[in-house]
Amino acid sequence: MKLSIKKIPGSIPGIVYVLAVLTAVFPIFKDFFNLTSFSALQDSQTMRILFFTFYQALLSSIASLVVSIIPAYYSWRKKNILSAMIDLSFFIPFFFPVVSMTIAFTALYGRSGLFFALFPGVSLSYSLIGIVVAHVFYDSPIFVKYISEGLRSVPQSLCESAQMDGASKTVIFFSIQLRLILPALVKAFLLVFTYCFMSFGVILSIGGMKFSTVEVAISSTISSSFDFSKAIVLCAVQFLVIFLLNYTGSKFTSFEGSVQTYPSSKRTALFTGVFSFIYVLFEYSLIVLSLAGGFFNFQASRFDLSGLINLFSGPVNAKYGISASLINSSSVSLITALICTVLAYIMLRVSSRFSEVIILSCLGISPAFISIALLYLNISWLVPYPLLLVFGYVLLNMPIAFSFMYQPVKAFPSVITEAAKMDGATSVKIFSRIHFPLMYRIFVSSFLQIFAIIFGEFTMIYTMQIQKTFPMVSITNYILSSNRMFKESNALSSLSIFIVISVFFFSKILEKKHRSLLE
Amino acid sequence: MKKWLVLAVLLIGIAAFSVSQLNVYVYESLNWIEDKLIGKFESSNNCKVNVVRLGDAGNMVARLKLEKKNPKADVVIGLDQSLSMSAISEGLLQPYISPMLSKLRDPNLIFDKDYYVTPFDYGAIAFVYDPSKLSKIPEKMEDISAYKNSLIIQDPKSSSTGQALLIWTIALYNDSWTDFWKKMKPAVLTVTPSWDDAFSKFEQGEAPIMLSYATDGAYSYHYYQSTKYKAFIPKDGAYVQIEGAGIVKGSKNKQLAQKFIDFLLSDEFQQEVALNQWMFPVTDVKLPEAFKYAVVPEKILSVDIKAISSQMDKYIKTWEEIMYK
Repeated sequence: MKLSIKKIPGSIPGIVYVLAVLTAVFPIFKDFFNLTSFSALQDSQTMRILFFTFYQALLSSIASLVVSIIPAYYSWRKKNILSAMIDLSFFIPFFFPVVSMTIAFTALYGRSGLFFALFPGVSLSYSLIGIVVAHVFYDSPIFVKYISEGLRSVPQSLCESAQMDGASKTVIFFSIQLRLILPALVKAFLLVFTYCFMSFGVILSIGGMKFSTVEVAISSTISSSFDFSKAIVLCAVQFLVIFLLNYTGSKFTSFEGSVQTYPSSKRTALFTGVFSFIYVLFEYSLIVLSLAGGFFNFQASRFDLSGLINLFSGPVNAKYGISASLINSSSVSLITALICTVLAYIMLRVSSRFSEVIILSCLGISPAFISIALLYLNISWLVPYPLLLVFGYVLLNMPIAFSFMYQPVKAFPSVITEAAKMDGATSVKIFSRIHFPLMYRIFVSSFLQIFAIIFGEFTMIYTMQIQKTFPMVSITNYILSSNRMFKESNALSSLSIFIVISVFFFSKILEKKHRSLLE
Repeated sequence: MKKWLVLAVLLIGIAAFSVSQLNVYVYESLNWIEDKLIGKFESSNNCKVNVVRLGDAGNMVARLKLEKKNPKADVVIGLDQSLSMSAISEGLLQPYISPMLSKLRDPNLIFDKDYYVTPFDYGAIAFVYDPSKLSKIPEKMEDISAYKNSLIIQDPKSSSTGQALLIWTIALYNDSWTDFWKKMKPAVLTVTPSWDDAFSKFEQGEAPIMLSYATDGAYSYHYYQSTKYKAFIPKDGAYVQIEGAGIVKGSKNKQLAQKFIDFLLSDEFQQEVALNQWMFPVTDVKLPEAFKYAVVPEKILSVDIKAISSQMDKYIKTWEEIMYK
């Protein structure tokens, strides 16, 4: 029998996904949910949190969009180191852990930071501005990627014809380029808005409890009020908001042009170059500071490897499970990233609009709540933690892989696939001989993105509190910092970033080899 | 027949050599008990103790509630007065009157008169400050409000010290506690979810004052041989936080759990409390030299913890309305 995934009805991926989510949440829902908890929605405090969550997400998304326009334009027009660095910044939101970002952010923009020393009174911490700036740091690269790739996919012939007809650059931009990239821009906006709406670590560490979002409220309802039923209601509200957003987003159909690159750089204004340079400085300064923190003592201005050495010394390693956490985080990230990438590909091949909306809406699933639900599966049926972690991460990251691979998989020329089918190729053969080699870059990128997200993930493992049984890097780092082992914590933070960057670097080598093989 | 005999001998052998396992839930910073004391308890009771570290004290109660139908823990350590009341009202603990309670230095330390929770340490809540950044030390609680954006406190919903401060101010100002907080608001730089987060920001120099414990001077002296940070307790009166341990309802090792509670009050355990937990031991063991730098309260407030805890949700809601609006 020939394998053909095209025979699967388009609604199946969405249904399977919903069933998987229900499997995770049903036991806790059955045992703890109480309808009276809906009264929490009448509470002024809940309404304030909901309003603030929406407000800060909107503000952060608009700010990220505004900041990203010029670097995106520069990246589109230029082909040099600066534009390469702008392009690479896309991975920052996915690989840079909030714990590391906070330390570097405070060192630069906090009341004890560099900027405060240079400009007394200027501090971004504990304010809405600080939250917005941190979100711009994390999310503007997403806009840069969507806008620059959108501009690259606008056919040059179209612009040239308009120019020949006497259209000015402004007219060309507004009536051709902007109109064609608008759907991609809307999708990027919704994605960034979703991330900001769900924000947890940035809110707590840069803002403080005063700036609680719905996700923070869910976590605190679970671990402080022990009111699981109210947490379920808050989760439902969060999910509903994200669902409505994604449903709206699904109405926009992207322009599916092929990405073109200019053979050489085009001229840009000096201001564009300077602004892009400052942008790169802003994005990379926190990473460099965080990386250097592991082996450089900024207070004493000297190299200091004691943190790194202590980290792997017998007692510290045994007590905090440093090696085990590195192995566990790498294994779980590797397995989950692989599963998510393959499943996202399969689902995208067959999914209907219904499935797409359902899966993308699951970006609104609360990591704090899903982790408590998974913990309850362990308590009730002794499901092992590693299995639960992989399951939970797949649920949380599938929408990201799905959204990342959406355009390339959907836009893949069906003529090639159909021709292979007529030649009798099975779905497995079509994947291994055609789709995988031709979409190699997107598979690797998606894999890396998910790998990096899980490697630095904090909310879920913090809520599950399974450090003793199954240590993971980000929580180990947090515990080291809580126990005032700041040097060791900085060293582990640097090591984590180094591991993720190495994986990226390795993938680039593979990609290069693959390209030369194809050529 | 031979087969059955071998099997029986094997089973008897396994039973004879198997040791019972006691599951003990603690919050993260109580991890020192694993290094220093658990081994002693294990060898004297021929058992295995599995210490499970669960973030903060709130996480422990959340976990116990999740496990209520299927309890996995035998003992829980680190519940303060307010969290103890929550755990008791949720039906998560079972009472036990330890014979070692007679060793307590002050019977008032038994804050739960139904004996669900046995106290094992205590300490006054205080404000810790950096003397190099503070020109004048506040004397009364209200004096702190003069320092704009200078104080780091913890959230009363997620942190036991944060909740202790709220209880403290309710005990101090009674019905006008809300007026105090309205006045205090401009002095608060940020409200963190936990003590650890607050201390980390304080150590980075983000603010000159933070809500902490009266023993912080002792900590500073012990580790830095200087009182880099000092603590003060407002003269209006101090609030003492008492931490206790309880036996989990449905524990499968009740007898061993009781022995463990007794162990917490033994000299062996109590001697380690001061320099590891940075709280005062509840029995009359000798205090280390560093503790002469711990601030001793002149006046301790009497608090009806049961009455305040029963209204805690309401108090927190009002507090949030003032501080987060």
